[in-house]
Amino acid sequence: MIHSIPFSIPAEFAAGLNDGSLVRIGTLLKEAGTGKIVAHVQETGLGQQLLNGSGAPPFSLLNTVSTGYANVQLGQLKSMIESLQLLQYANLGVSIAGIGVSALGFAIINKNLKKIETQISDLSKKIDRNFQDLFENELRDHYSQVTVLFEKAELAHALKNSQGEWKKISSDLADESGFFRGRLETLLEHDKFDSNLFTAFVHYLTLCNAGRIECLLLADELPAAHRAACTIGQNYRDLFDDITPFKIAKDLAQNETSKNSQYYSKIRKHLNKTNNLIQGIRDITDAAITQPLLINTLREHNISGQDYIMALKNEKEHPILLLRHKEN
Amino acid sequence: MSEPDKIYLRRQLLEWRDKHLINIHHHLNHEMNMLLLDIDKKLEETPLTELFKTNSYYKTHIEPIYREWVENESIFLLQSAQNDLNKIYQHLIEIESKPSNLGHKNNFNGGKIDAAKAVAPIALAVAATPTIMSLSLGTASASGIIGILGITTTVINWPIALAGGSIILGLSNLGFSKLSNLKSNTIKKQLHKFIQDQTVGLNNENSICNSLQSKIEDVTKTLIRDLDK
Repeated sequence: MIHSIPFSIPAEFAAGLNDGSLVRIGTLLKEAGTGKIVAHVQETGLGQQLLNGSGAPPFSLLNTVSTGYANVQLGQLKSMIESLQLLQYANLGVSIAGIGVSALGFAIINKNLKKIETQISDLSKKIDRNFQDLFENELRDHYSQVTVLFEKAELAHALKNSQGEWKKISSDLADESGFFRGRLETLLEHDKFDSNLFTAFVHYLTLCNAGRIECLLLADELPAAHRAACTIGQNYRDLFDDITPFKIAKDLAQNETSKNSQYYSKIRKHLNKTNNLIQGIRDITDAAITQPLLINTLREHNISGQDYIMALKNEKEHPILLLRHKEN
Repeated sequence: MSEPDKIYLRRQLLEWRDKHLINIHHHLNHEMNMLLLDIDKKLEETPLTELFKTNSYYKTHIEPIYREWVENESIFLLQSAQNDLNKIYQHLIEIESKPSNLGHKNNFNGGKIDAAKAVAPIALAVAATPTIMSLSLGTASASGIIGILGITTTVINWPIALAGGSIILGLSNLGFSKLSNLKSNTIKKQLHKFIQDQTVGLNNENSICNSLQSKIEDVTKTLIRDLDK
């Protein structure tokens, strides 16, 4: 038990993961034989801070993450990367919005969002007029709105009616998430796939959704959090399932102006990058569709959403913890 | 099938699809070189004047080479995809029919493993390994895979290289070496381009590559839809 919640550390499951009797899918560990859920993988606030501070771009391969941290934090980051590798993660895609429930803190989420906003603004100067109009008119309004919502969510800790406030913010974040989902749909229909823009929009979408769930948990609305998590998972399936590495590589090759190599070679070249991107997207989708199962476990253990989030935020030693599933 | 198992299988099916879409493109591009070599050899054996006849030369001499190649490569690719699909489902059938036997120190079910309560094998969803042919949304004919791809019924409009009276009239003025060049540079190029478009043309939705990839995508959609039922 850690913080009076039935957490375990990844090393306790090492034998099962290594001999194949335990398998990770999304954020849950299951028995390979029976399919029974054993535990849920959960990043703590410490884990999120370490990965955010590492500066590694989203979807980087785990074994390429390096950092200029001081020794103590470097040790913690290395330990976290090892835990993620033990848990069969290959890249950082899933950690974009946190593994399991987000416990990053709304102020830090806002810092992340500002970074993405700057990236998107830089990108807008390089792309065609259609997208420029999109950016100028609509995106800035939505960036501001999301930033304000996260500021309000952080402030709500100090309010008397914090639960009511978090419920309202969750609902408003759902609207913003819907907007970014729409932008992603448009981007995917466009002839010219832009992987940087795609990554930035995915980042925004997943952070908005992470914020939604966090607010509902803080408001102790676990049934609503469960329902929202189911909807988010289905939305990601609808949005991402049809994207394949080959399709993206083909689009990138078709739009490449260089005449130096054959079309076939261009596709092969782009496949290396797109394979990694798609792996990350699949991990994000699996994490989303297994999140309802984690919320069910909280309900079965009678753990309040607020206690769970605060425990994760206050964790200073372990970047990754596993919430044991309740035995029947 | 438990919910985690369904999610696990879903991911495996998506990765199976992603892998074979790439395989199909790569394999056809690679093997097409062998096809073009065979066709070039045939062209070398053919007198130049034969090539200016109507479509019949290509239908009689080139098309059989092409169709045989398409059939062989399509069967190879679909069989390869089927083998991988078999492994995914066979693994599921095997693990569902074994009792849980965790030998490691963490006994997640409280340390009691009751063989009598071993999971009953084979939920309906995995009762039989799905086959690509049976799940294909195309029209299956007696000729199997090629029927699915519609090749037996598709009329191939071979490019009639340099047909036309004005060209033939001019031939008599050309020397031997120029005639040879005509065959190798012009006719071969035209034929190669046509075959590339027919086999791997990404903007040709009826190309062999696109047709095979569509089958893989359709099968994946069907299998995932079945999981959600």
